[in-house]
Amino acid sequence: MQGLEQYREALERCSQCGYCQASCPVFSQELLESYTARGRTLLIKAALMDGALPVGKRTKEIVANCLLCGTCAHTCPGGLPLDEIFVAARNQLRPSGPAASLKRSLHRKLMEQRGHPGALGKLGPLAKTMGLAPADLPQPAAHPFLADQPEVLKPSGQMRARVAWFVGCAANSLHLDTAQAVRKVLLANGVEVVLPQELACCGLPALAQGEVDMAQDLARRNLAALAAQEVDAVVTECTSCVLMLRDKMTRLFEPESPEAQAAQALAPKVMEVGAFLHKLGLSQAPQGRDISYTLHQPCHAAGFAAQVQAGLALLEQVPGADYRPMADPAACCGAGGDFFLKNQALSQGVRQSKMDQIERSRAEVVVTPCPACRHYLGLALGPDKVKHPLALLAGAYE
Amino acid sequence: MRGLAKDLARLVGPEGFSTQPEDLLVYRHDAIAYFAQGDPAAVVLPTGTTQAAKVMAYASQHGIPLTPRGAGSGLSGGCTPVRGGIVLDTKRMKGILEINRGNLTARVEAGVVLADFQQAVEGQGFFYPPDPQSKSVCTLGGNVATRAGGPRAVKYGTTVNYVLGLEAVLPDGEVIRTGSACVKHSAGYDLTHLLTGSEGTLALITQATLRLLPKPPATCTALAVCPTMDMAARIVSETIAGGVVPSMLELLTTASLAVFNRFVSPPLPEEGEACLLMEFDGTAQEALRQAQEMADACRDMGAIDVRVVPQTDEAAVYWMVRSRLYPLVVSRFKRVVTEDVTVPRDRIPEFATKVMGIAQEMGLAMGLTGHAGDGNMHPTIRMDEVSDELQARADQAMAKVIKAGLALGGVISGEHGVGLHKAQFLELELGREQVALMRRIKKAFDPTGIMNPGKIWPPELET
Ligand SMILES: Cc1cc2nc3c(=O)[nH]c(=O)nc-3n(C[C@H](O)[C@H](O)[C@H](O)COP(=O)(O)OP(=O)(O)OC[C@H]3O[C@@H](n4cnc5c(N)ncnc54)[C@H](O)[C@@H]3O)c2cc1C
Ligand code: SF4
Ligand code: SF4
Repeated sequence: MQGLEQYREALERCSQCGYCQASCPVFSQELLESYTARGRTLLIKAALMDGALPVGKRTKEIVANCLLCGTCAHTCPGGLPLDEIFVAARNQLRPSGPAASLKRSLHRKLMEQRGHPGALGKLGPLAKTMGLAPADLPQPAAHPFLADQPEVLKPSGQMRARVAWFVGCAANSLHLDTAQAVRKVLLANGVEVVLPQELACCGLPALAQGEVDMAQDLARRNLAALAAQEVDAVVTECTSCVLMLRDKMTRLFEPESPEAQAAQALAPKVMEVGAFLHKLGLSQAPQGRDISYTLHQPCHAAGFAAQVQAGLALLEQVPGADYRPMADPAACCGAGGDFFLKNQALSQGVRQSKMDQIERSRAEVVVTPCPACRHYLGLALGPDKVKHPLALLAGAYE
Repeated sequence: MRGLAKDLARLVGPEGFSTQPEDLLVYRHDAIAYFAQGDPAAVVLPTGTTQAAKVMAYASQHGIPLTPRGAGSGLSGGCTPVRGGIVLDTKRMKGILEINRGNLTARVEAGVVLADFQQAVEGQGFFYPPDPQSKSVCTLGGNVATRAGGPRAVKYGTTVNYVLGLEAVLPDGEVIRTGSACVKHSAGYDLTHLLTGSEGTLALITQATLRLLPKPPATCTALAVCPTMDMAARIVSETIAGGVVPSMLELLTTASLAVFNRFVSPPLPEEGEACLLMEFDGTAQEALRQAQEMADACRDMGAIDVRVVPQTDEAAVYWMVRSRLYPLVVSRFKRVVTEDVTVPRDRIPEFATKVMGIAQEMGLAMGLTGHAGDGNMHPTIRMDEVSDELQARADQAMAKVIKAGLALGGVISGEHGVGLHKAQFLELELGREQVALMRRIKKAFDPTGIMNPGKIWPPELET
């Protein structure tokens, strides 16, 4: 995942079929073809690679107006690594100057601290410096989840498996209920949990900003911390972390480099925590819960939707819990990481179609394993109406 | 064009158009990049007929070329703005205005995506059969403008069989409504079907009234791997002669078997020269029986492997792969040149032999696929490199293929339209007099010649 140049051959393989129009949430709002992957790649090639077009404001705008959701890459019959190309384009367009480097170093610090501002102070002023709208920003908890966890969590009963838990930044500092639910469900089902202290953010937020170097630094640190563990699996509750650790990280470094090899070795061990538990099987039967729920499948799960489905199958073991599928669980919610902060009208348009589907499902709560989707849907539905799937299961272990 | 942006802002508002080169790049061509020739001055995205009419009147007054565009998924260069000017993108005109249960009709705006429309009518128990493989993106307006068809044409015909009426904007901005929502209509010239297939050269289609069918209760898919192309072609023509009408009957190359094998199990043997993918519909029993009879017939004729797939979700995987084969092939080669010749179905074996002969004679890698059940063949030249010499040889080979098709009583295009790609062959099929008459019709609709110039016939015929 270095310069754009390495994607030249891939770009030349674009058949121009236009199939990518079918799935892009940004295009579906604007209906202007320059927002489709076909349009974006033509522009990236002309402006950022061939110098056929000067790089102006509009190029930057089009490159920025992308959720990096990867849906287009999954739709593309030619299998072009479209979202990676868009990251490389952002990398090339990274702003320079003192304000940008301040923002960059704050961002790095935040990711090294696993999403918790800690000594950086409250997120509010930080967000201001970063030019984000504080009103819609999630508030970090006073103490991050990991602050008072031991390095190894012992299960209550007999040990059936041992995992390393990659606690995502959101579960660590924003959605502590998710982290608590995961801990409860894992321990109740005989899973010994290791919490490697040296871990940092998975680095996906850095990639989204085109900060490839930063993502590589974080990945190196995480690879080292995880390689040292003797565990059956590496689990995480966050869809984006799964995507990064299972998929993106393997292509983040020069092929054949030691880091790339380490990432390749790690990838198959990484599982969404629900999918892991489903595979292991529950040893403690959940109690009944009188609740109806629907699933929102995050776009980052497009490459491993089966894992999300497996997590969902766990919930079907909760007596009384009633699954009410919506028409298209995989349709985008509009969040796109922190995209919604900068592109409010567009994101709200995308979210509205999702809200209509949720309403028609007539479910009481929405479950989704992605913290960004959860936050953004929660802004519209109310924070209690959107949960991590395991939070619903944890409720059945009262 | 000075003042264009200001004028357009007045006509459609600042959000309704773009003149920025960054936005216009993608509007230079359709699904075939090498057709790109001119740079458009603007893309305009009207939200409905009223806005579209204003833009058309404006273009007429100022003599600005105007090229209608749906999804830009065409394969003939039809929506390529070869003379620059305005590209009129219909995708914001996307209302499904009416689904009339009592009359089995629907009224839609031109920019509605085919798959969205099919989903909407199927949700109500209806069926809209035309199924160009680009259905996830192509627009109904584009389908009407090209008389698009797809695998289901063998049983259900193409778009042309479903258009009952149209609303269209003439180049001077006047709005006409042709046809009706009646099943029968015999007053006046049939302008509905003149505009259907006119490839944006006469008027802008803004709405269509389409015929619906009741949805068949069940389908059953079957696949046969054939040792030779000739055998596959003979199976097709004998099936048709035997009075069996599959709902889809596709001829594919064996290269596609490897693609199927990425998605289906047990794997198919990657052998032989061709394979046939078919579907039958009716009641579950009928569909299954027909598929099994067909499977038996294929085995008797010597097919290497035959399978019947009654489960709809499993079958859907085969058809999903089918719809992605063409872009997949294109993504594997430096350039792919594809044709759209259609021959009477009893001539398919001869045509297949001719095409393979031409490929050999010209020293080119050529594959033959197609909606064989309706005689619509897609001979496809695959190039590992691009050079003027090779392109010239490919053009020559395709000219031979087209002539071979015509000699068998075929037509130069079954579904993609003439566009830019086959303009030079139109006279060959239709003859000088007919083309001259068409030119006069064009003049009557579009006296100033702004509508999609450079298409259908070569520039020397445009006067
Ligand atoms: C992978 C792939 C598979 C395909 N498979 C098939 C297939 O199986 N069968 C088939 O028939 N085609 C197929 N096509 C070709 C193409 O999708 C069809 O021709 C389709 O009908 C084009 O629709 P569109 O909306 O993309 O039109 P465009 O490509 O945008 O335009 C096509 C032509 O119609 C004109 N036009 C568009 N809208 C209007 C309007 N509202 N009023 C007047 N003129 C208009 C344009 O000027 C142009 O001449 C395929 C294409 C691809 C890329
Ligand atoms: S779907 Fe893929 S191959 Fe087709 S136009 Fe989009 S990027 Fe190109
Ligand atoms: S990554 Fe998502 S938002 Fe970006 S172009 Fe692809 S589909 Fe659209």
